[in-house]
Amino acid sequence: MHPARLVDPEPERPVGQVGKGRAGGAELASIDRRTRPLVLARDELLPVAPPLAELLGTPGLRRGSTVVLEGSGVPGGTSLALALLAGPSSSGAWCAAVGLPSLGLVAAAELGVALDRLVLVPHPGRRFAAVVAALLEGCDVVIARPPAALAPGEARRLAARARERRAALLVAAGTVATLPDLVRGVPGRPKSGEGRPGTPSLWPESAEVRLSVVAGSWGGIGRGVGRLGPRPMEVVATRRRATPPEVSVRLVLPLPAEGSVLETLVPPGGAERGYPESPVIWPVLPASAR
Amino acid sequence: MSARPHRTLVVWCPDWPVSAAGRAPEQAVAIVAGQRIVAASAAAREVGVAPGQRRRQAEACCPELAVLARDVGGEIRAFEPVVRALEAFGAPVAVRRAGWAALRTRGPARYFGGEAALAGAVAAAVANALPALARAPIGDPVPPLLTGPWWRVGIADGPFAATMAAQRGVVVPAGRAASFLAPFGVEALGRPELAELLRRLGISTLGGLASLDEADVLARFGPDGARAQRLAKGLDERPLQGRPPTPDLAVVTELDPPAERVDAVAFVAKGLAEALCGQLAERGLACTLLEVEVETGDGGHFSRLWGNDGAWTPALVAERLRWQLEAWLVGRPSDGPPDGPGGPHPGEAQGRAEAGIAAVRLVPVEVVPDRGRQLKLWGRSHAADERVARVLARVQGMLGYDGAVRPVLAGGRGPAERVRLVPFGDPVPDATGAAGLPWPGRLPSPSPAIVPADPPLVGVFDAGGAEVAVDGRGTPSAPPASIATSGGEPVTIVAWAGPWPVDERWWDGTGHRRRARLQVVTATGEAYLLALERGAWLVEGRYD
Repeated sequence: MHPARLVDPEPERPVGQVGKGRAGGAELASIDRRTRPLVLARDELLPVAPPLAELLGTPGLRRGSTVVLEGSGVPGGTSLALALLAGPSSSGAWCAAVGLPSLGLVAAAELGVALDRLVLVPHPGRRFAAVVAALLEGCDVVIARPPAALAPGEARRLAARARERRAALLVAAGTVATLPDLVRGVPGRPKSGEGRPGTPSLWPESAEVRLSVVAGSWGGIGRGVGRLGPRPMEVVATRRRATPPEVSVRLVLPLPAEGSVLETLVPPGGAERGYPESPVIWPVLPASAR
Repeated sequence: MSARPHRTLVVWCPDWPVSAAGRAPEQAVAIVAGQRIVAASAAAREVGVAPGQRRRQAEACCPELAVLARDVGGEIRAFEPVVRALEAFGAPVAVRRAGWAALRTRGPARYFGGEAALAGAVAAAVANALPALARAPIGDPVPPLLTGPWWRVGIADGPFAATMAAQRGVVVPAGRAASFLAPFGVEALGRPELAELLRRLGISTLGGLASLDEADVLARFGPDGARAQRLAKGLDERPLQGRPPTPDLAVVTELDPPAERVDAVAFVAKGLAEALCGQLAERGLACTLLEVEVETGDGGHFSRLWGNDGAWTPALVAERLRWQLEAWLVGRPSDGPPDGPGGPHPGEAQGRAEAGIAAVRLVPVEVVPDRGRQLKLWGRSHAADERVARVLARVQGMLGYDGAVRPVLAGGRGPAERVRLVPFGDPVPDATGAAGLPWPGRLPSPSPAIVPADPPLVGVFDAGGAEVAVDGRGTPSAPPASIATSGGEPVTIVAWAGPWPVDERWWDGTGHRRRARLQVVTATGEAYLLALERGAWLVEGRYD
């Protein structure tokens, strides 16, 4: 099956010429098929924001690729995953989230995810692999948190299915997804099977890109003053195809508008009012300055 | 003019607005609309309250009078069960207003073996239709109880005579309407001005009016008077505008012997779906929610709801049925029902495939007028939407209709209540209006990226180890210093903000909720949104 494209690749197509006769929908579609290359390179990429593109090593999220978001004990993985969904969904691609019953959907909307293009399968249960495989056939991006007992063979099959169906598979391996995880997460100790670098991942297969949040801080909040603001974090990406194979990118979520510069999240004199002494704040440089 | 009026059965509920408001006739109740009494209970009428009076007059007559505002919609809704009960008799039911319904007796009377028997059956059905209203009847119940505390049943020639018969709770034999009506006063015609004039002219009963010469009546009182005279003579030829009974659109097919193979059932289902689609198309309807029910040879049941925005084709229905059956057959005990609330895979249907499938039933649960669908000119994105819909229908086949949902932003203050999940295929409610309104007290962006459906409890302690409380003014008893889950070690809080109190729906006894929200950052670098409600701290969300 040829993958249907959601992003209209040729919005400037001369409509008038085609529509002169009594061309019906089928005829238009056949003309459309004949007059364009088999697969456009830009069709293969789902748009993402520039800092994320830097992480991925490609200008966008490549269809058919598998991106694993590892847990590292530092929170931020869920927001990062949602930020990755923002670009594709707002450009009209369908996204599905599997096995993430506690996903904060307001946060998703704030991070730019178009909720009318998002479908949730919160409790796939033991049919996880079957559900993800089915969704890869129809959706453009599937974000899934695999169960702890996912066999390597199943993971390989899902990655192959994503490749074959030209859908991007995001594996939210580091996200605390369910209630018991959250309760255990409160003392700040990730479960033994996940999280800490060096422990086996929930995704036993290789992936094009592995992302993990290695550092982060919370700006804007002090002891009894302020409130949580944008979250600066440092993300390390291990890429299989791009060079260099490992990059570290500092970004702030929600992603500020391009070109804006975040200088500090601590108000003047904030240290006396109980703000943390030296929150890690990185400036977001305009894209042209990079 | 025409032939004899049709034999008509009338169910009349006196003072229906009072009954619909849930008041008994023995209570002094009046219903007002625009300061005028429109209906009064029997008890109120006894002491002089009458429809048409001003509210003040009525209250002067009866100081203990309970005055209720009229709720026309509620009256009609309350009457609907009565109409349904009447529709069961198979004849078109005419409803002129809430509290008055009529049907022609010709067919049903023959079925029940006589009009008296029919009237008794109707009275019983009406009494059953609204058990809440059917209190102990006043007076002694006579076996064919045609009158109850709030209903009257009568049969006569034509709706007018039948209404009068219903007031008395009698069956007037055919052709005897005129003599039955003769003793009634002219007010019964429901034309107050004409009645007043007739009284002044010395004609006080319907019999008197009926005995006048028709030409004279027409000359003196005009066409309206002539019509009134025909009514008085028992010649009510106004046709009953009946509402045809709601058609049963469900289609069913039985397989004998039971089919063992999924494709055999799917093949049968396709024919069945064709019949259903044809029926719907004939009536100009589109089905938005379809229930596919499968019965196994040994009596097992397995049904599932399928949503679609209105374009069911036989192939689509057959496909859904095939997925449904496959999901069910595959659902062997070893594979098990999916754990979690999203996977309602009926356990009782499992492992019973050996018995075969004996019947397939398609029930259109929700139908809407078919307005057609407008496809986009450039069909590609539509094709993608259709592909997604097919894939999700398959997922719903595996996990149940609620297994795949779409999020819709709704109005609210907490991160959980700002999102509503709608099963994929259901029309998305337009809640964006409420989401865009200002919600004072709502926490600004960023929102927690993890919002547990069932917030876990957590303890919040101050430096001395005492639990932190928040007073009515939103001030914490002490700065929070650590949090701990039950059984977990406490974790130090390095930063916190709030608490922000929210007092929601204070006007609503059941929905009233007071919360105080607190953002905390722990020494381990994690941030949480906590909420204090009824003395217990909950983890409402985790910033992740």
